Amino acid sequence: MLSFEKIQSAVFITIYVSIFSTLIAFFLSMIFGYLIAIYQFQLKKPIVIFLSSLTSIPPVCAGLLVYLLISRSGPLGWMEILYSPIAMIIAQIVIIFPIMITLIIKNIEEDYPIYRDELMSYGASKKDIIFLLFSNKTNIYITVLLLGFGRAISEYGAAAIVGGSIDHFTRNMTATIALETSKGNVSLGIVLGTILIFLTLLISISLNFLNKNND
Amino acid sequence: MIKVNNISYTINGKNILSNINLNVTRNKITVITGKNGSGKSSLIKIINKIIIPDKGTINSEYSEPIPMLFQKPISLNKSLEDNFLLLSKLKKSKVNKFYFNLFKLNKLKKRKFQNLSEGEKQKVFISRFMSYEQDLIILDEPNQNLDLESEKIFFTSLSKVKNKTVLLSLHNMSLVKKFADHVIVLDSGKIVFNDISSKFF
Repeated sequence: MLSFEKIQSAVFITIYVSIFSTLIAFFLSMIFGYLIAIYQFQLKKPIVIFLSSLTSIPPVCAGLLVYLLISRSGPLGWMEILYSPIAMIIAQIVIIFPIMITLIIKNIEEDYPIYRDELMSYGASKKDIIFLLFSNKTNIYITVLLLGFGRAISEYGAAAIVGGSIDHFTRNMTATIALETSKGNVSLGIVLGTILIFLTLLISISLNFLNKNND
Repeated sequence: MIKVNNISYTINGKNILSNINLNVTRNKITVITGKNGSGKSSLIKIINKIIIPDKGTINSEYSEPIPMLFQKPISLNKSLEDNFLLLSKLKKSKVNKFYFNLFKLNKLKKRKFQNLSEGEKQKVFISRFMSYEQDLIILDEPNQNLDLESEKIFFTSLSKVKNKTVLLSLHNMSLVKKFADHVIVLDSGKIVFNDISSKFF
């Protein structure tokens, strides 16, 4: 049976959790990505390899990791955020942060020496060089944001483990599709699935458009 | 003007330059030529103190790197004019528009830089670099992507510049023959010829 309320609630939870996780992961990726890309330090290579290997972390494993951290007996259990949207946001950050930071490091690491050499000879300060590089890479940031958001909204597993799939509170679109389909309510699954496919297609088209503009 | 003494430079254990000795003479055009990967760009960057060599010294009037034309110059996602003015804005210097006008870039100045052809982009890079007046002009393959006419216009005007020392890397031997006072030929990071142009041709 189709329930407009259920659809509305699932879409709303999915979008706001994904937006928050994407923005926080992006903010962290920008700060740490730039620092790792620009500065040379002893553990740089192992850190980049580790982050790169985390890009393919299975969402359920990320969910399990966050669950162990925030469950009542975990080190962050005192925060009492298990089965809340905050827990879902943290789990999604664990999944998308490695993807976003790896892309930022790769792009900035390639371009920084080119900018540094030329702008240094122009008499620019390190601050000027970083500012010009930062302001000249907006297309990459949009690509990174869209990729992170696309991964976050389509993720199933992590958010379900730490969110608990509580109706009207933490039940997002992917969790609703899985639950309602298993209950035989295929029509609701189809509607939500169509909305999800539409959103991911929209992101994919935007990415292609941006890549075309970058060429 | 610049004296390079016994420079050697390696990247990841690979010899890029070995035991380089040369002089860049004041008010002359010195051309570094050689095959791709012979070390021309690295040598130019070392002479301009952008790269620090593993061995050797450079005696130069300049203690810091000075603006030069790079082989792959940076561009901003802005207009042609914004890209042209980048150097003078950073240097807070007067803008010399001679090459900007010579290449007739004024009519394209509001165009988005990314929409220009490769040849037009190179004209902007040359004009940007030449907009800042200095006694030493360092150019790394300035004629790349330029059509024959623009190439001729540029080199003819460059050779007429008075009281300037020019150091450039070039592939095109007919241009080397026509414009160089002094020729340095690099092969696999070593100098195989270093003398006045008339002795080479």
